[in-house]
Amino acid sequence: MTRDEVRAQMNAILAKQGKGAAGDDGASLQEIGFRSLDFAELALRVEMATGKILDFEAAVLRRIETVDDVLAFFVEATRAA
Amino acid sequence: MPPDLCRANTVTVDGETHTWADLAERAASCLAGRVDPAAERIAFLPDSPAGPFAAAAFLASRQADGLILPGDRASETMRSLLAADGFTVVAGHADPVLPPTPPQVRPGRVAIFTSGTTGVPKLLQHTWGSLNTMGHIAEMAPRRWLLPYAAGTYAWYQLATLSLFKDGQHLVAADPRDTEAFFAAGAAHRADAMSSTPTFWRFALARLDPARLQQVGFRQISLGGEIVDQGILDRLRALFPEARLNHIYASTEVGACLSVGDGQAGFPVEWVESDRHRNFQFRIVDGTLRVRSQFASASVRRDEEGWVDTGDRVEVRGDRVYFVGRVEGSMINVGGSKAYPADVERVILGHPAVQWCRVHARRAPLVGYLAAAEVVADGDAAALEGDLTQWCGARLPDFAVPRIWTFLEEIPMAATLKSARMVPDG
Repeated sequence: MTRDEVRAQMNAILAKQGKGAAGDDGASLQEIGFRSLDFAELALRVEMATGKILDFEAAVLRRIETVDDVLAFFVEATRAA
Repeated sequence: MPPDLCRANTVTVDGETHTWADLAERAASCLAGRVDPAAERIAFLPDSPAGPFAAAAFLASRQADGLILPGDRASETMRSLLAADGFTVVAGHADPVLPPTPPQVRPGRVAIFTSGTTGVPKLLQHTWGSLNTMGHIAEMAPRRWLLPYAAGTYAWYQLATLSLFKDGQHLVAADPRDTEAFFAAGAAHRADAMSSTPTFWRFALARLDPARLQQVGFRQISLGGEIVDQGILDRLRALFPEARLNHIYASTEVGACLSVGDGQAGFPVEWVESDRHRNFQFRIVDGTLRVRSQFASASVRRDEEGWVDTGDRVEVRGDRVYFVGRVEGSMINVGGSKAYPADVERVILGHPAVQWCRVHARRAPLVGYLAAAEVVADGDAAALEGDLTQWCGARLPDFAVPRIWTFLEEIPMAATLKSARMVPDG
């Protein structure tokens, strides 16, 4: 998936909770209210969109703190699959 | 001793009214020389709407060993089970099909297939005595019961048995899938009582104007077969303020045990570990309901004290006991936090646009499972997803808020009148 596709999914998750879009890549997840369950939902939605079971083990080890971290993580995870 | 048949009680099917005596006679003349109730277990697979009632009249009046299963519901698996259990299969006017081995006949035994909603269908053994759960009630107001249940199910037997053995209890059977015709038949034949599921009422409320439903002068409404939530009780109370409204806990395994008539969901906690009910007792062990009941199937497994594990998970909240789902597969484990679908459904059903919902576990990376919901609601799906997410977010812990929403056009209702599973769990 591309960064824009992941961002669109991320924004959809935020929007349905009444939160603003993740516009600035440098913004921290805490700032925009993107929580760990939102990350899990995004992982599920990425799997649904790609039709593949992805290996997200790296997410546990990696520091994911900003919008950019999220986008980079999912682009990499889907590329590896 | 088997109870006496109320031969003058009536069954109205397809607009025609029959007495149980007529039905028993009709079945006897049709079966004369074809089956021998003293030597055979008889499985009736009728193909006409009146057929199941004639079969019930025959089985009850002859104290035969039998089973009733409408032909269109008899799957290959069920037919194999019948043959293996020694049933002679009688379908319409065709020659009876004999089993491969001679049966062991037990007079008055009634076999019932479980609905299969919790797994492969099983044959459970009852008797007319164990099915006659209202036989001990001394005074019952005369009623004409509008009957929506599929023939041969435990719920159908509850009503058939009531009419077979209790004076003044009549049946009006109609096809519940044609909601308009169903309630019109109820009004035309002066039905004044109905037993059904919460899903069936939601299905009817979504399709018909309340005034059409009120054409039937209900004086008694019973709910069961599924968890009965406060929302549906309140809607029915508002729609039928004069009716006696009760909800029943029943299953093919343990029979009908609990009847709650105070208009509140759940049941009073003081009924647990109490001897106040003559025919059954309740106990909660490790969060699941155990029942000791004289109406339980003979084939259900009991512990040495006669308790049956129902597999239904319950929670005590304040002075009530609430059903929260089945032990197997009912809990949604979101990264170690546990959500019960029944609790989430209660919140979603409280939203004014929602007609029906089912919540289930959806396998998800990183956390194991997330809550997912199927919904029938008024309005635009995209806008509703946000609205419902925020509605749930304000009323439930984060982990219990459904993350995947599927919007359906119509309430999916199984033949049992319970919610059908459109999206598989997991």
